[in-house]
Amino acid sequence: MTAPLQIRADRALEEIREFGAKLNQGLRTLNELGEISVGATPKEAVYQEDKLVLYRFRSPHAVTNPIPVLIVYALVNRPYMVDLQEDRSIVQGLLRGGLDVYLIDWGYPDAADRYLTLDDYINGYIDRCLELLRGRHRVDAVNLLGICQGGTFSLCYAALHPEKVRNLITTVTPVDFHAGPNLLSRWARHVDVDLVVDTLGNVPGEVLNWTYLALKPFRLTGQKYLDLVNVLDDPAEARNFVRMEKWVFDSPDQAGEAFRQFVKDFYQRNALIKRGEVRIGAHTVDLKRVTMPVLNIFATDDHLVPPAASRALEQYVGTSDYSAVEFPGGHIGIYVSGRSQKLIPPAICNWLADRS
Amino acid sequence: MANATEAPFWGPEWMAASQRQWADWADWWRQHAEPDPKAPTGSQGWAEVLERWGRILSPPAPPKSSELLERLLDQSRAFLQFGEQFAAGLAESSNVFQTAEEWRRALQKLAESWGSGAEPPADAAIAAFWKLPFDTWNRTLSSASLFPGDFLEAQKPETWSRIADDLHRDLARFLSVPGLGYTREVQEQGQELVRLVIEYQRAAQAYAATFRTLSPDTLERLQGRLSDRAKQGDPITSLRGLYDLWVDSSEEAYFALVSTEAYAEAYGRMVNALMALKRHGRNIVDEVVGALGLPTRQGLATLQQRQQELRREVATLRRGVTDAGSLRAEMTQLRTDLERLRTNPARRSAPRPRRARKADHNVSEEG
Repeated sequence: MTAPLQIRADRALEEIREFGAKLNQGLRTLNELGEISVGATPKEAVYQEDKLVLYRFRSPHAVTNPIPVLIVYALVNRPYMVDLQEDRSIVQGLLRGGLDVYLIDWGYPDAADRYLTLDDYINGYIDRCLELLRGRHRVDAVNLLGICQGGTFSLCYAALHPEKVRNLITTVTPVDFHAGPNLLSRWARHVDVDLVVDTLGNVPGEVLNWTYLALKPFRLTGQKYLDLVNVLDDPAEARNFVRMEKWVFDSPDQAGEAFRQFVKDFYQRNALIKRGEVRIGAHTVDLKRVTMPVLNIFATDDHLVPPAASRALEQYVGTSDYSAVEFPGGHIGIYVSGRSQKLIPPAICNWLADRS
Repeated sequence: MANATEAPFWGPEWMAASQRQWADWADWWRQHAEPDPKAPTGSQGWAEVLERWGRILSPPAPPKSSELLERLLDQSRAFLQFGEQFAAGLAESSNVFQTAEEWRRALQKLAESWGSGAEPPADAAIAAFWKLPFDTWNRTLSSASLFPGDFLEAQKPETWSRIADDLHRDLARFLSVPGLGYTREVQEQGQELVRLVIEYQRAAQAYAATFRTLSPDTLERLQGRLSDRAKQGDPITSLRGLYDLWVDSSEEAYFALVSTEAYAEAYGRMVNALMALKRHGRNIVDEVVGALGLPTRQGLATLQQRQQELRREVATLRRGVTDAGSLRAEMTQLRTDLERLRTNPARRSAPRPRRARKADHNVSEEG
């Protein structure tokens, strides 16, 4: 049998010397990067309420689909992920496909937002944005595109107000919160969420940050930075890395009451898939009322939302027009990888075009 | 773009020092490594050079440093230390690990240096992750609490445990003494505080203890992966290759560990104990603040809650007004149509279509 480790001392020393030289150069590159901008596509604010801003992206292309698309992002992290930079922008792909794209930016909740509930978010903010778009475009229903937790919100909304949603697209959206190797769900099981929210009020973004890093700590807090050393000789690559890093750690605090209900109902009780067990405001959510066409997009290597958690949607919605796209990548790669730019926007645009 | 003169860390002095360091290193390497790679490596010199190099890499608080730089430097330092450990092992094994026992011993040594017990490893770079959960949750203690964020971090769990165990009988007696007299409530609050601190320390200790099996399990998985590579005739030939294999093994072992019910319970207990402690501290602060006639956190929370309820009611009323407005307009239109039909019955055969929004409204009300 071959000796499994054949690292010679002289080669090891050379490797370390090379690593040091790259690091040396890389530190200079990092220092010279200057400000890192995010968001590639021009946009205008068309509605504001509290911390929420509803943006409409300006398109250089002709709008060929008369039904506008409203992107509902998660409350965790920031929505510029969908328009991170020129060559990594799902939004630009959608605009190229002739869509009129709107995006909800939830902003950064502070102590005054501590009592915002899921009812306020779903039947309040989202509904008012949809009403605005219905009036603005003189349509009865608009296309809804939910991302991650925003996808779960969109599902709830579509179940509560099916007449206002023309087509529903969910991306990396948890539906069955106990399906697959869902570490977040497992970890939440013994946490007294009432005690956490009653004590903290809003839940700090850095707690969520740690939680996400703790899913793959050796890669995300270690190996990733050694990989960085290898690309730091290229300022463009370094800029991409720093931009992504900025997004990763840009985590708003979570409004306490909404967090309480989301963790208890969805992560702990897995109630979304149980008919009538999630109550949003005055009404209960029944996924069988999701009767509009549904496109469910999920990532096969998603460590935050296991594919099984998203795939489950098919068996719970009431629609007869259900489609699914399995993207070979991870939770973030589905928005920013080169492959996703080629696959995801065309898949969405074509699917919508068939249903416009 | 940053100006070099404003950033001493990146300025010419640092670069010159770095170049000198590399020159020293190259000299050392020429003297010790190049002439005879099979000769025992001067591990003391190697360690010394790395140490000096590390010192240059970690200047005190660079003014322009960012969290990204800190993370990059931490991990780079850890990688270099890993290289040092490994090089030392190579030196003891005449350059290349020839026997299975040699490489197992080397891996064991590495595993020990990466931390193998219940306590987070001592090395700051590698320990950075293990401290994260404690740091993160402890920082949540900082606001509106009696305790600064690092209060508990400074208290070693083993110290608390010893105190709690040694004094258990006395402590239990102290904690069970009913409060007496005018300061009865204050005494009880103090007793509760001690109880909660001890519970948190025990919970934190139990949480840390769940990681006890991680290092041996990682080592076992690493050995398995290496054996597989050896069987396939695909040995590891670089430090980075070994590091990547270690990361894969660690992630695998970690996932197996944190997927267990025991971990979830320990994690929940730690978080819940910390929250209970913080809440108690916050209540004490509220009492003091209230006694001074200042607004309390609880009072503010009540106001915020009422305000949000009012805002919700206003939004509902506003929607009602809007809906009523559109209904009124619709009714006016219907009256006009009806009047027209009355005055011109011939048009009855071609009624106006109902407006879609009316139907939407009805569904919405039911929804």
